Amino acid sequence: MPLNESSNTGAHSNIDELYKKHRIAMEGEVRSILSGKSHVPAGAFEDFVEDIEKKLMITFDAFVSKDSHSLASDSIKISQRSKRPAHADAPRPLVFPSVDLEYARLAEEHSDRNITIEVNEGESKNLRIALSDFHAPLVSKINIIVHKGASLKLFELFISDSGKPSINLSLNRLTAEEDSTVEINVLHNEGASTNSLHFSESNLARNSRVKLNTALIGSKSSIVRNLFFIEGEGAYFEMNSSMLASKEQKFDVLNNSLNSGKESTYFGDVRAVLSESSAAFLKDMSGISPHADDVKAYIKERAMIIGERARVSMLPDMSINENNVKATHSAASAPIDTEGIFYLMSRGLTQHSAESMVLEGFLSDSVSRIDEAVAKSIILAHIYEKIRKGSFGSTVERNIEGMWLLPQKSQFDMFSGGMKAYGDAEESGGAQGGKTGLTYSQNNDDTKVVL
Amino acid sequence: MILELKDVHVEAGGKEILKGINLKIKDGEFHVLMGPNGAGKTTLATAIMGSPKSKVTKGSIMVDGKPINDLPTDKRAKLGLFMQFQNPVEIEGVGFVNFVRSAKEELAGSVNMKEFMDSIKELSERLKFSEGIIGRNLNQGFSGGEKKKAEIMQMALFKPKIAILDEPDSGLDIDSLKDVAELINNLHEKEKIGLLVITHYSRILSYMKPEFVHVLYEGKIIANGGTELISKLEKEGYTSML
Repeated sequence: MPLNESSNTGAHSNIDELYKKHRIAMEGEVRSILSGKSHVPAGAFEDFVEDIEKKLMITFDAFVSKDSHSLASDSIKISQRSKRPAHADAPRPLVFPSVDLEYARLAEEHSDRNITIEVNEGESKNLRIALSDFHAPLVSKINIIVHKGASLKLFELFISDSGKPSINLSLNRLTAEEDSTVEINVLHNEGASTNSLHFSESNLARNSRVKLNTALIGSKSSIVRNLFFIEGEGAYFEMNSSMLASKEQKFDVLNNSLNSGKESTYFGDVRAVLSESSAAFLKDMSGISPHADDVKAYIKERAMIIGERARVSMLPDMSINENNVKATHSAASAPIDTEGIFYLMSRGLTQHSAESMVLEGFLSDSVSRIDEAVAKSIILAHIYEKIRKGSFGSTVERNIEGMWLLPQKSQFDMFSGGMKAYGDAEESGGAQGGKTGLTYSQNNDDTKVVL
Repeated sequence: MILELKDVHVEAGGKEILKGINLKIKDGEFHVLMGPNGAGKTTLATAIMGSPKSKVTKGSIMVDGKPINDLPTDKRAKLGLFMQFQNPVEIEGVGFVNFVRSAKEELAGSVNMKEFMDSIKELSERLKFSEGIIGRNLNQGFSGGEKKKAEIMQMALFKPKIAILDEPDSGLDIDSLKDVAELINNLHEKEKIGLLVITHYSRILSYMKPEFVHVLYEGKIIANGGTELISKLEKEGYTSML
């Protein structure tokens, strides 16, 4: 597959139309699902902003342009933040309608509690969390704080197969303090009736190192919005994202990064495999602030298309405001390589096996960058299962090193039904319904986990 | 096993490349196919293996008297045919050992992992892979010579009945050429693998003992004979055969 070439599959107008149609359909469905579970009364927008800032410190604020066709109407505004991304105001194609921020608001309104995960200074911890929407819409808000010199490996497994229309909303905020090391591995394998919306913000201090590895293989529709603020000098952020879509699945992903720290690094690798009538809209926006000397920023988007109906739209974009930097971006899409298939078949592999092997290799090349062995093996197992069997949202219980799902629970609860967690700390909290392997405390609506 | 081509015409890229090839190879025999650039040598190899890009428009490719024109590539491999590629593709993320094990399982039904890994290690040492082969992706980051060695290593592991080797000598230094030639000779003698070695030059043939030599020119076999043809070609060139 040629690199350093931008290419889209399908006429531009067609994919824009598809995108719009998909967004309207998804929005209607999400609202319909949530309206049946409005146990948290919707507050005024101001209350929402205040509340979310207090609890989660993430602020998503719609940057609504009066002209809906304005090039800037897709931008994200980070309110009450002095370091607003320089590229947020830059003219861009319409890729991020402000309705996404409504989803963030919905997530907040319908959330049961906040979860804060902290790793104390100098400590090194490993935590695995499984989250599912088996019985009710799942809403999770997780605030992760890794203190100075600490290390955290976190695995979030989103899984379900309820067979009923459902919704999975998550808000993650990461604060990586000075000299900390963080690896967050996320697998989304929700069922074909689930709509997923995921928002995250990461803030990196001096000399911190963060790797975010995500695999998106489930859900009927997924919207992902990530914000990476690489603010500290010498900070390093790496994102490896793998997507595998089939049937009618739609993925809509926007990664927005800002390097403002000197000698900081951003590395983004996005890969997608699309088959049948699936579609992906991939946008990677990287900004480099003025005076951010010696920054390195790389964006790579690649897609493999199988069949004539799958579609991908890729948009890597950079806004560079400093001369002394190294920055590259590339995007490439291609059908599966027939020469490669012929080669593998000449060794006795059937066409299906050969194609599966090529697809697995394409995605596992990205997954192989995961350091945490358990997360890597689970993610690969799910990818292989989907490639080989075409299924997703698997209910197969995967009791790997203490983490599993309990599909029989009837009551939605973060720690007993919808969410299971396993970590390397002793349990001493007062959780309901079984072992979590965590030390945590609960105070009304909030849960704090100290590792 | 007998591989036989009867009046085979092949089209590639909308152009007729092969124009009536007749060839018969039995397991245990050693054939060489020589010809200049563009003669159709690689097209012949890929047509035998069933590449969708090399379309047989007329004639029959047969194994043990049965036509295989419509047989998928993997089924041809399972019959016992093997092709060493001139430029094997690089496939990212697919481990060499994992791939070879999967292929071996397809061909042999099952694999004794200990014996398999022992063979890999022994062949890796014998072929002098400077960085080893374990832990590396399929042909990714391989030098030209390593790619050739990896192909011959696969032949040694799969033990086909008839192998078509498309320029096994290109990209190899003199020492590597000897190593590769020795392994090919060894497999031919011990396993009775039938060989069709495709080459431009006689360099590798100085380490081998072919029995039959064929000359392909502009899509047609213009000469058949023994090793005397190699000497003649060296002295007089391909056009002397016309």
